[in-house]
Amino acid sequence: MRIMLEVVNVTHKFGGLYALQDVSFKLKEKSIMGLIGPNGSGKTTLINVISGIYKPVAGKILLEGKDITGLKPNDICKMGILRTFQIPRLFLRQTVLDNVMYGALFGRKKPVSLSEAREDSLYFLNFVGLGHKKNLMASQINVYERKMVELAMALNALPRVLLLDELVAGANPQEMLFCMEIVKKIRDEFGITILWIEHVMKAIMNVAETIVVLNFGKKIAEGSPKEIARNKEVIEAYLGAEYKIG
Amino acid sequence: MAKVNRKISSRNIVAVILILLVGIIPLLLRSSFILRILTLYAIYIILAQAVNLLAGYTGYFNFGNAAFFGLGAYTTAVIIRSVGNIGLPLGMLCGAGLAATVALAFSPLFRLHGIFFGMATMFVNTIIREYIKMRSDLGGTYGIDVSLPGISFDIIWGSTYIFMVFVILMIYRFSISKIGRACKAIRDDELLAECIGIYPLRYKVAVFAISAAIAAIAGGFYLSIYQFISPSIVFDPVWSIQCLNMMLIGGEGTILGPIFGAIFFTTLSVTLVGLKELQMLIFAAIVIFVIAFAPGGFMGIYEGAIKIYRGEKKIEDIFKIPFLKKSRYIQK
Repeated sequence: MRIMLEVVNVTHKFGGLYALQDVSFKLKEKSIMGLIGPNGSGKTTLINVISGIYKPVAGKILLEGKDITGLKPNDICKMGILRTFQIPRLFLRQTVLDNVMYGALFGRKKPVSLSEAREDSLYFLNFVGLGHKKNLMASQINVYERKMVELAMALNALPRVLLLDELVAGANPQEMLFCMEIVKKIRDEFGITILWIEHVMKAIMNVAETIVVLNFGKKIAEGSPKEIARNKEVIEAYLGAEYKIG
Repeated sequence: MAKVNRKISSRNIVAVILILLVGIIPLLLRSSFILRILTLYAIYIILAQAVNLLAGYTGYFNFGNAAFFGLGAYTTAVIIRSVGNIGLPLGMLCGAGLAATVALAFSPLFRLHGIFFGMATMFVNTIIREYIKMRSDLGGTYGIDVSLPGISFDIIWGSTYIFMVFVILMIYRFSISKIGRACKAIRDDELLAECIGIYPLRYKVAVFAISAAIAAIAGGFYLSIYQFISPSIVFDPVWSIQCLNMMLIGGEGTILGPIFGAIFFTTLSVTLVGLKELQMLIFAAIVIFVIAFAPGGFMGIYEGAIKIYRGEKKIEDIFKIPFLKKSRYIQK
């Protein structure tokens, strides 16, 4: 299995505060990797580094072996890495369909016609279950729906790597199950490699193949969901050192 | 997919006829006075649309628009002085080119955002104005007179009107084009636009240059009706700020909005002539009301009214009046 994305000794700080310290891991092609950790552990910062919003103070990001560290977000998008935001961002003065269109019109490597972009936009909107809301203003839909529209926009850019930042936060049980299904479909049907930050353990533990755990900017564990659930350091990080299991 | 043959629909025929009528009827009235006023209307509409390109559609408010307007006026004046009447169209073209070039030269300003960009562009106007004042060969602080023998106000109205229609059509085509989408994205969320593969700088610079060129041509038309310009007139902030206000009142980022805003403003200044303070008071009060309570401007209220009529929305959704709104837990 090829390595699609590699994070190599990435360190990043804000002023004197280290948000990431020497984080390394590899993402296998067409796999789903979970990224978990307590609040403030650096997960979103890592996504921001990979997607080009920050240039790390040290370390490299490799896409299929090619160094993409420090490239701008638009370049990284054209290279096939798309991300969603923890608090969903959309173009609020435009319709849902127009929002998704941006993925196809500007996010892809090859230009497409307006009609093809519209077709694909409708396809992905239906894929995330929001086809019936295509003409609503983006400001009129709720947070979960905005996350889905964001996801559709990202998929519309035909990425090779998808970075999801808390996809099911705030979703009800049905929506969560739906998201778990479509994330698996994204891997299986579209062949996309996924790095998924999540706090809702039920969603990520049952979907991800590998999990990486961050705490205070450092990687403290990597392994299968089962291994991570039993890992002492991980449990300590979430629950504190005095908590003992069995 | 059903193809709508846009060329022959009856609505379009009516529109074309109306456009032709509005252009031709003033010519039949045989009054220079009316023609000059109407040309002024057209100039304001053109300017409101020019700032609409950069502000309404792209989200960057250029408070130095007067610089380009004045550059256009001065370039036209200088060329008329050298080559006579033919200098009017020639000068306007050169003015447009010069304004676009100056805009390109100031493109580093796009490192600034929001109000800082606005402040910096104000200084662009100051720079250009003071430079012109220094040039005694351009009339210094006094200004330039030109004479255009043989060019009647009919011709001036006609050409201004044609250019105005052209600009409006261009804005329409821009708004549905791919470039238009990119600009709207930059306006709504520039970071997200970058993350989805847009390179904002190229669009901002291009729109800046085009907006400058249009403003410069408007400056040329202004020269043609008054035949006298001076730095304090053509570099006056009214050509920047009031044009933005027109756009805001009418509805930024729309095609018809700036037209209504410009018509409203011009009517106010024409009917309350001599009462400049009252004009400004009324206009300013309306601008404040629009910004605070009805950010979509006139067009926003109009479209909201349609939606209320259709039952899709309630009054609380159109106006941002705090005590009328039900409490909202989630922002926006």
